Amino acid sequence: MIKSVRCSSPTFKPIIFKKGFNVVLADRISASTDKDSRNGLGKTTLLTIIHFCLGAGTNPNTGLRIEQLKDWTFFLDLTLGEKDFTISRNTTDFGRVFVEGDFSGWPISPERDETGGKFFLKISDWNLVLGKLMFDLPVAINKKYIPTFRSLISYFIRYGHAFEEPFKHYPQQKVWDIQVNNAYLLGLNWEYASDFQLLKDQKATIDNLETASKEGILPLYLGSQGELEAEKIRFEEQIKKAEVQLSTFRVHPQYVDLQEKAASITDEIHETTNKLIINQKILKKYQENLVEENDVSVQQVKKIYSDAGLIFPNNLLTSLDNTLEFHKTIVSNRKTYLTSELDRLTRRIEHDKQEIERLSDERAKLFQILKTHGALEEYTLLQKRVLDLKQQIDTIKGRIEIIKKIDQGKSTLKIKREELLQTSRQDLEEREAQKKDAIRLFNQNSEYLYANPGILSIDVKDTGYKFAVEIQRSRSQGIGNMKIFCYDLMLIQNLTHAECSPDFLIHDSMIFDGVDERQVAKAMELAYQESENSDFQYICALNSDIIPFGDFSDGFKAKFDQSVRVTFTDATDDGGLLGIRF
Amino acid sequence: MILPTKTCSLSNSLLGFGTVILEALTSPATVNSLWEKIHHEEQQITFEKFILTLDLLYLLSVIEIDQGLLRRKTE
Repeated sequence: MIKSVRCSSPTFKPIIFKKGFNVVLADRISASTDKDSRNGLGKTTLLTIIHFCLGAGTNPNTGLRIEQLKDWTFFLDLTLGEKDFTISRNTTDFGRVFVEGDFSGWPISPERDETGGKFFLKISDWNLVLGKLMFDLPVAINKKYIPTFRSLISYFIRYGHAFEEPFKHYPQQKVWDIQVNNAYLLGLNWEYASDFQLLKDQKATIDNLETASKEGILPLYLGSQGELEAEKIRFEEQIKKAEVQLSTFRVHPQYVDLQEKAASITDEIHETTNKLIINQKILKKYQENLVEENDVSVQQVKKIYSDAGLIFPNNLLTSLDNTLEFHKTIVSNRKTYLTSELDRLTRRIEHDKQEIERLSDERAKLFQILKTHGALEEYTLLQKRVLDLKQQIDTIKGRIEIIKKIDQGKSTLKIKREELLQTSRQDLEEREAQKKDAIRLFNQNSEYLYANPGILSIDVKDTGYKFAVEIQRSRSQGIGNMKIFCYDLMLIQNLTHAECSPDFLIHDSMIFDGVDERQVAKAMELAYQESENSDFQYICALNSDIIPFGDFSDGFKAKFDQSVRVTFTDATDDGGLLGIRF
Repeated sequence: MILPTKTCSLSNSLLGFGTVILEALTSPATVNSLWEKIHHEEQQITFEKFILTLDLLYLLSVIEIDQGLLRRKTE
């Protein structure tokens, strides 16, 4: 229970709260509809101060850390676990709170400040202590996604943008945050909500891994596991073949030289063969000549001679004997020539034939070597090819591994998620009682307001807990806010039966924005009734112009008036909470 | 045969051949090389006619043979 809110500044209007129903009123005289807390009268500032003393985070130059509030100290007197404490926090020395009271038994003990001798806690520690004292939240929880004091208390001090829906206390609240904290407040197994988020994280990691693993990979390696296995087999076969080639490969160091030699021998053979053919032709011709040029008979020569004698004068003629001599000479010359040529050619032809045979043999031997050996360059190339293939196989194997891991990860995740779903559904069933309590209270609240039981649904879906509220009077204005009202009320009603509870529920005036006057009246009466009966403190900050006096039931107006703890006004400069205008 | 006749033209007569051979014998040559030359240029001169023509030229003292070489007789 909050007993009072005070401040070091003399202009501040200290407020004393009581048990049960409390009202903080703001009387706006000027026509300004500005909702900015800086120009406002202090309703939202009051809630900000309470949050501040309860360990809220701060940012420079906004909220309570603006220049005008430099070095202000705010005090909160509250009852925690039946003991009274005074908490103070300074806007300049905002990193810690000072504590007065009996804090023996606290999970973290405050330290003594050297100057002044007072006891203080770091804000982070203060939040842990508050979590334990107000919500029985263990100080150390070994999990990634956990309920925190700051999140939980925000459902009991709603202000600012906390009026979108019951389950969120700020618009960008993450899904896991919503699930975990509401589950905790409703007495459900919040750890399962945490686990759902962990599974989502794991899925995101695997998805990222999959995307990253595909980056920069040649299209060759982007196939499915099956395709890659087939590729791998193909490469393995190629390697086998190449390795067989390698093992039977005989390198001849002068392979290239031998190849050239064989080629030049071939040229020689051709040349020699050509010569051979020509010589054979010439031989044939001479043989023919020999046959054709048979002896010209001496008789013919004599005839010529005698014929010549008839034509030419005799004294010009050489003697017959000389002529016959001449004839013999030239004929035998020719014969000698032919025979010696025939001889020569025959020998030459024989020689060439042998030469050709010799060259062919030599060449055949070379071919034999060339056939059974290979050049060193070829061998080296072959080796390189084998290495290349092996590398490709390694890459493929690596890729296959990644794919397997990813697939396996995905299946494992699916299984885990199924298991988690089952377990949490089971658990929810076992907590039927808690669920029923919450639903029953919510129904009662909404029925009081709308004569219609609302629906609070709590389910386990694929993505974790799913919470929803519905009140079937959608034509009624501002029903969204009333859903929040009923939900919050249910939460505090539920918790007051538990061991630990904040023991208060605070609503900013925005809870009644746009709500039908009848419902506003009923809401206030319900809050009054429940807080009195169930022993919790309800505080609401209201604008005086929305109070539906006309809809109050008999006698409630008096109760209402008695519940107003302070009234802010803009009639004077010091009429607001802070007592200063800026 | 020496001179052209009714059945034998000038070019086919020994005298005709004689001019061809003489022309081919611009410098001294062996019987074989001369024969090769003539045979190559004038296919119709048989070896027989070639020899007889040489005989004729010889007996007419137009050519002579000296150390195996035929040549035109110099004055």
